[in-house]
Amino acid sequence: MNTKLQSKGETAFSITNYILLLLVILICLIPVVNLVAKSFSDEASILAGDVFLWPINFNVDAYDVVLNSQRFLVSFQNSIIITVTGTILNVLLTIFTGYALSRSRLRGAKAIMMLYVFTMLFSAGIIPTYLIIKELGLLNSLWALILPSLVSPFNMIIVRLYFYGIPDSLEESAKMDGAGNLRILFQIMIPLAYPVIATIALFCAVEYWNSYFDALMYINDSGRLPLQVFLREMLMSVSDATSNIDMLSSADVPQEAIRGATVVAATLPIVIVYPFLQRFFVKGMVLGAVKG
Amino acid sequence: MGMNRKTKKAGIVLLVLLLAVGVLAACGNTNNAGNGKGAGATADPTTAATDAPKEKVTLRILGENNVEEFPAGTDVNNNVIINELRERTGYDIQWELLPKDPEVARQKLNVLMASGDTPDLIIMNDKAVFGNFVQQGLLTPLNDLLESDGPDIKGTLSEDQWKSASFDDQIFAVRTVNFSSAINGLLARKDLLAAAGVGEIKTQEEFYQALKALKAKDPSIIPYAANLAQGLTSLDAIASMFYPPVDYVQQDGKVVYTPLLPAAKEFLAFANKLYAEGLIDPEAIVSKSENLKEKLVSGQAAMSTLGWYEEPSISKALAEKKPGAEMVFMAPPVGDNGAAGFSRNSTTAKYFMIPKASKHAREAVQFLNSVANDEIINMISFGINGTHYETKDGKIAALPEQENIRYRVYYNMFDTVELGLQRLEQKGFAPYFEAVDKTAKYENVVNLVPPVELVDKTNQELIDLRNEYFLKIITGALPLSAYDEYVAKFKQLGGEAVIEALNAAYNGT
Repeated sequence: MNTKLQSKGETAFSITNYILLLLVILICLIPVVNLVAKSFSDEASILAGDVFLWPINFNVDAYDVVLNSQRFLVSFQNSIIITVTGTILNVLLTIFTGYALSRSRLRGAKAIMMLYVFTMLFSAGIIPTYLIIKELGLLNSLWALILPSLVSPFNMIIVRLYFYGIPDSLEESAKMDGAGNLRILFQIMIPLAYPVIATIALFCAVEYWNSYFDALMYINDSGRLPLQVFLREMLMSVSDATSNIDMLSSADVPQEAIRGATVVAATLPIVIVYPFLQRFFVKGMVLGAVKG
Repeated sequence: MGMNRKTKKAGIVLLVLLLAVGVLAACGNTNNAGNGKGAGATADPTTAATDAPKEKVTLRILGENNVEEFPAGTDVNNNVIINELRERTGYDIQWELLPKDPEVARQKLNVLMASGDTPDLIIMNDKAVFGNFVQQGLLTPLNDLLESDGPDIKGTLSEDQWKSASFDDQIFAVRTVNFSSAINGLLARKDLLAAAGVGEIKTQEEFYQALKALKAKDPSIIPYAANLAQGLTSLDAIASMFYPPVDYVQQDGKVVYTPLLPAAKEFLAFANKLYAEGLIDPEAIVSKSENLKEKLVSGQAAMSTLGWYEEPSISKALAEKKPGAEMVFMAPPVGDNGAAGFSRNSTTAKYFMIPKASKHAREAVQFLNSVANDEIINMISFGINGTHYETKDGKIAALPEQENIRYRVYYNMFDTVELGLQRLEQKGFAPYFEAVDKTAKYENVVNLVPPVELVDKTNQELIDLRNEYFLKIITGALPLSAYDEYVAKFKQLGGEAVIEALNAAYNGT
C-alpha cells in the first residue's frame, strides 16, 4: 500500500535511511556486545585482543566471582533503595509543589517560584553543601543522596506548566461535587498528569541510579556506597591504580573478564525492567490525552 | 464507574506508598540520631585535654584506598586486625578511605580540609598533596609533639625523612617507608631472541643488532613495542643507555635536568633511527598500555619497558596463548658512554599528616608512637602469631587463616622494606619485583627534597613540552635540529629557575 504511494525517489530515500540508521545502531551496539563477549571469555584471550563480538573459551567464572562478591550485592541493594525511595519521594513532592504553584489562588506563588528559580541559577558550592549535610547528621547515610535533591526546580516547572494547562473549571466542578483539596489532587489532577509524572519519574530514577560524586563525598562506610562507585572502582585501569599507595595493589587490578561481568550484571536489571516501564509510560500518555 | 474505581485504587496505592516512605524515613532518623551521637562524642573537649586518656579517644584516620575486598561481615572498621590495634594502642581508631578515583579523592580531601571537618591523621603517598597543605598552612607542626610524645617515632626517622618533610624549620609530616622502590624493567621474549640467534645483549650495538635480527628472522614481529601515547616511559630501556631515565638527577652534588644533557640528543638520534627502520613499533605513537599489553600477550611484540606489576598477568596469559613462549626481565644494555640503570623510587614515600583543625593532634602522635614498633608492624603485616602465621626458622610462614586478613590497608602505617618484600613473596610476585629491583638505580631529585612551590607549579608543563618535542623528533615529524628549539622553549618556560630551585633545596641552601 504504502510503496504505491511513494515515488521512486522517496523509496530510495527510505532505503538509504534504513541502512544508515541500522549502521548507527550497529555502531552503538558493538561496544556493548564486545563487553558481553569479554565477560564470558578467558583472560588470556582478552589480553591478547582476540575477543571481539563472540566469546572465546566460553566460561562463566567471572559471573561467579561478581555475583558472590559481597560488595557488589551490597552496592546493588543500596542503589535500589536510593532509586526507589528517592524516585517515589521526589515525584510526590514535585507534584505537590508543582500543583500548588500552578493554582492562581495560592498567594505569593510568584515569590515562591522565584526562590525555586534562584536555586537553578545559583548554588552554594561544594563546601557549604558539605557542611549542611554534616550538620544535619546525614553523613554516612543513604539519605544524604536522596534528600538534598528532593525537588528539582526544572522538573517542578515542567509539572507546574502541565497543571497550569488543566482548566480551573474542572477543579470547580469537582469541588461542587463535594471533593476536598486532597481528593482533587489525587483523584483528578494526578490521573490527568500521568504522562508528565512518568517523564519526571524516569528523570529522577536515572539521576538517583547514577549517584556517584555525592556518594563519594558524603559516605565513608563502604557498606553504604551505591553501585556506580563499585563499578568505577572495578573499571579503574592499572595506570590509575599506580598513583596508589603501593605497587602491590597495581598487580592485583581486577581481570578484564570480571570488569565486563560487573558492568553486565549491573546493567542487566535495568535493561530487563525498561521495556515494562516503557509500556507503562505509553499507556499513561494515551490516558492523559483522551481525558484532557 | 470503572474509571472511578481505578483512580480510587491509584489513590490508595499512593497513600500506602506515602505511609511506607514515612516509616522508612522514621527508620532513617533513628540511624541518623545514632550517627549524631557518635560525632558528638568525638568532639567532646573533656577527653581531648588529658594526657593519658582513660576513656578511649576516637581518632579519625583518613587513608588511601588500596584495600582488597573485605570478607563478608567485616569492613575497614570491623575486623580482627583493627580490633587488635584498638586493644593494643588504647585508641578507638576509625578508618576512612579516600575514593579510588584520584580526581574525586582530591576534591574530597580539599572539602574536608576547607570545612574544618578534618580527620585527625591523614596517611598519603602523595607529595603534591603534602606540598599543597603545607603551603596553605593546614598542617600541625610536629617538632614539639614529637619531642614530648613521639620518642619511638623519632627513632624511625632518618635525616633524609626529616629533611623532606620540613618547611621553614618545622617538620609537618612523619614519613615512613614503602617497599616498592623499583618499577620498570626491560621485558623481553627470551625464546624469540634465542630463535633469532641473539646471545647476551650487553652494549648499545648489540641491542641494535638484536632488534635487527628479530625483524630479519620474522618481519611480522615488532622488535620493540611502546605506548608512547602515554609518555616516554616505555622507551626507558633505550634512554637508559644514554642518560638516567628520570627527570632530575644529581651528579656530583649538582641537580641536572636529564633532557638537557648532551646524551639526550644522542638518544633522540638513536631512537629516531630505530623508529625509521621499523624496529620500534610504528603504531607506538597511538598505543596505550592496553595496546602494548595486547601486543605482548598475542606474541606480536618481542620487547618493551614495563612495570614489574604488569608482568604476572602478561606472562600468565602469554603462556596460555603461546605455549613455549618465555617472557623475562633482562638486564638492560649499557650505553656507549657507560650509562645504565632504570629509575628508582625513594622507599620513603608515605606522609603521616595531622591537620591543624584536628582537636586530637597530641593523641594522634601518641597513637603513631604506639604503633611505631616491630610488634605492631608485624601484626598489621601478618596478623596474630599462631592464628594467622607461625614462625619457622626465623621466617614467617602464613597459615590458611591469613587469607581472611589480606585487606592490606593497615600496611599504610609504619612499615619496613623487609616486611613489604615478604608480603610480596607470599603473593608470588617476588620474582618479578626482584628482577627489576636489580636494575633500578636513579632517584628523581624532586622526590628527595621538601616541596618547592615553583617546581610543583611548572614541572608538568616542562614534562609536556619535553614529551611533545621528543616524540616528534623520534617519529621524524621534526628534524633532530628541533632539539635546540626545545631547549630554547624550556628556558622560556622558566625551566632554569626550576633547576636552580631544586638545586637549592637539595643542597639545603
